[in-house]
Amino acid sequence: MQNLNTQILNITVQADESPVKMVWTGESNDRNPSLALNPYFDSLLNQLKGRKLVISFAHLKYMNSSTVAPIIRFIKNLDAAGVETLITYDKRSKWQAASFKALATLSKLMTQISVKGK
Amino acid sequence: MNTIVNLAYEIDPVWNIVRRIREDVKKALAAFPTELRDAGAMAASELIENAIKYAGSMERDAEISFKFQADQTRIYIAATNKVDSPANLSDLVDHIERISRAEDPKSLYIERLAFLINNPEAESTGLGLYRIAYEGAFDLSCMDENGLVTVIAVREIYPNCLENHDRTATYESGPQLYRF
Repeated sequence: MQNLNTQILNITVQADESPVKMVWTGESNDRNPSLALNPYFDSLLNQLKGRKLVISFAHLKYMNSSTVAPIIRFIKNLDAAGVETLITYDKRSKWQAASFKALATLSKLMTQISVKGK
Repeated sequence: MNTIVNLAYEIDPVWNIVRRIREDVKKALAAFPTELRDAGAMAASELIENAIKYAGSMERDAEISFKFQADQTRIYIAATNKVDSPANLSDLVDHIERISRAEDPKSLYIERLAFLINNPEAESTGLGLYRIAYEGAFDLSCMDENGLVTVIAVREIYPNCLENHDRTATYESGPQLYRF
């Protein structure tokens, strides 16, 4: 599984681990992050079927509100594909706690997605 | 703490300015608690993004100005851009009024996330202003004058927010001009 590296955002996938780990670092600040993120996530989806996934945002310094849409699209697709996914964030970071607690509320509508602060 | 922050920008719509402003605001708020620093940087970033996106739909003369002020009592952020259409202005005013009237901005934010789950290909997330109100705890307002619309975000700072921080720290900067 490929990583995504832009000037300021890096998404690293550790596929040899179980569960698979996806780690976000840097900042997501693009005007339209969906342009890069949606095809990237789509390329991973088939490879993730039958695996468990942990997505860690704890080391992400910043993301703009436009980044939320591709993340939501991705987790919706993961849920539909039956990929059991745990999303983790840094609960000491107030911006992360606010963003991901809201996402946690919505994850209750999905069967495969859970969100947890660490 | 006796902190005064005063930043002002006259800019062209170049996306890289968003990150630069966010970093400038963080540096300017170095004497403030992390939570206020992050909230100020996020709100500044989201407001300038919105202003650039609105201005981006216009061909030329898409001038944008950005103003940031902070002292020990409040953070004030204003982003101004030209009105590209009466319909967009009306939508923006309605949007801000709805947020201002909301007793619980978190509910609005979650409502919007739910919309995005059901409409993942939506052209615009429309989350930025909700986020400023919910995550940043800012009050929002707007005004239009002479074909320009200004969106204003204000967060009052209560003394207990500044406990255990350097109350004598001072940051002062005159208006800054950024050109690209």
